[in-house]
Amino acid sequence: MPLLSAKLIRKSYKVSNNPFKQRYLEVLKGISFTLNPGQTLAVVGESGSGKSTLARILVGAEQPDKGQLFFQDKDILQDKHFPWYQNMRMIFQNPATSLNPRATILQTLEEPLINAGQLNHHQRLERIAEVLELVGLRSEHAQRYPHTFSGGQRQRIAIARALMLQPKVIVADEPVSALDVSVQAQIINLLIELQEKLELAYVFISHDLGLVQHFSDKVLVMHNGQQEEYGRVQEVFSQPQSSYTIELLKASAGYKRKS
Amino acid sequence: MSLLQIENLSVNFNTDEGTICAVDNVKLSIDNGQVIGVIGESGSGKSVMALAIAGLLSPAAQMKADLFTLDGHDLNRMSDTDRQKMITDNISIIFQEPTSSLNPSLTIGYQLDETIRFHEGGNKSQRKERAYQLLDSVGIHDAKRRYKEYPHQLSGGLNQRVMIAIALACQPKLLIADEPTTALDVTVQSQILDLLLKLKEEHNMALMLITHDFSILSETTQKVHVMYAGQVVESGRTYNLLSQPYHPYTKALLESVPHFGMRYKKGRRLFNLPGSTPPMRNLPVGCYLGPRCPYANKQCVKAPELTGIKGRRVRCHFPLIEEEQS
Repeated sequence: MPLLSAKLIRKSYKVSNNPFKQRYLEVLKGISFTLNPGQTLAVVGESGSGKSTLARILVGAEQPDKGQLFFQDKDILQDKHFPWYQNMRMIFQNPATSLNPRATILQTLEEPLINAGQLNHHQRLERIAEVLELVGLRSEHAQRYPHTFSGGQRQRIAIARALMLQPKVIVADEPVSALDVSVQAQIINLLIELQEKLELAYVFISHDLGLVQHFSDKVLVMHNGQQEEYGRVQEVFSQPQSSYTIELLKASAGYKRKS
Repeated sequence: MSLLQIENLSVNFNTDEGTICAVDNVKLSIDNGQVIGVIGESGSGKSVMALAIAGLLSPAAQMKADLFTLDGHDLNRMSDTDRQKMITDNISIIFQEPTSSLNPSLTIGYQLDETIRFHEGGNKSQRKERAYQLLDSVGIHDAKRRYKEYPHQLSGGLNQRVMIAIALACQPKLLIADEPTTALDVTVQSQILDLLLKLKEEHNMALMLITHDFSILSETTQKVHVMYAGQVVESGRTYNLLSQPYHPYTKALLESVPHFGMRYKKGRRLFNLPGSTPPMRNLPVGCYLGPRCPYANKQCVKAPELTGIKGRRVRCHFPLIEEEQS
């Protein structure tokens, strides 16, 4: 049974406010995929191809116009009481801007727990210490503010925040592209480790094809909102079918093969 | 004869917390028509070095060099105005973020014309003709329309082409490209790199590519300098350096990036260095990589010197070559 599956998701935004001349911009033109627990789906495409809109739909921040989204075989777009926030969490590209600079790490991490309202104060502190340990930080770090951490540590905090409510799916929107190369590897290793420990499923948005190949099981190639190609990573990358995928692969591999 | 020769270039910034040495005794030489690469993480001093060479450092910075010659002229012995003239005529620089380095309130044409007027002069129609020609040479084919447009009307890739056109307006002998493709999409990235190499051939320029991505350097450059915390830690011919790095940092940089086209086992961990780049005002004693280095031992509290090994220069007490022989 797949954990998460999307069927022909469509989304468009209104671009003119004139009631006589309504114009819509189609951002997603029918995206489908399935994702099993413990698997990683990579979403690849240029900027403006609709990757981030798809991510926002997956965490429930946007409603698609058409299409179905199944979570453990339940159509969650129809279910008004589905607890999105407990099952799907997001990690953003730049931890420097996605963490509140005026809140301590404790406050940032405690907020999802307070909102879920299942634990008392003491249990919450225990959970925070536990998760901080899990992402490779120490529990005394909780009293500090985001600016006292380095970029890699901040991304660990962002990952900790996503893990607070024990989600099943984590949507990571370019989680390492704002980091230095040597730190990038640490974060990727951490994500792999967490996946093995917690059976997490990742939706991994990236434009680094080397990383995608290393890290994911399936890949979804998007171009202008269209689903160009979808399949297992090795198959898509060794035998690309669509012309856009071929172009993309050439662009990133070209500099090693040429001359 | 080398086009640019620099020895012991240092750039210092005075701050409240003491002097920060952003570039520490860098030695560099570029021949005519050569492509060299400078690689390093953010904060390694590679951009400050580029600005120092292009004479664009802020007045707060103190720059000194034992030797600084450009095209056979010693820039240290020139007056400020002569030096500035020499540099602006021969060195051009393009930056990472094309959309923010162009002025958003002026048209592409005006900004291009400004540079042409400064370097070549000529009357209005001659300059316009030259601008069309430059835009055409960087692959912008509807030059007449683009000339009148503003930077926000163009895509990132086109804006970077405009930046290149402006940089070429003075017919430079050296073009410094400071992370020219980092802000661009993958497909556009390869177009811009192809363009830079094509123009380099056509104009017989030297090109200095600054980046943090080895895959860009591997087939384009002849020589690579690896920088860490303001110092060059390893330099040598690209092929040798990439196929067998001597410095632990170079090795770490190469192995922490999964290379496209290689097959990996699911769940394989990437090689990584613990910790992160030290802040410039709080550098470790001795070898700057010391606390993060898997090969470090007692001797590493003494700062290593750049030493020549087999045609390469490495700043390490224990270059990786010895281990492979024993």
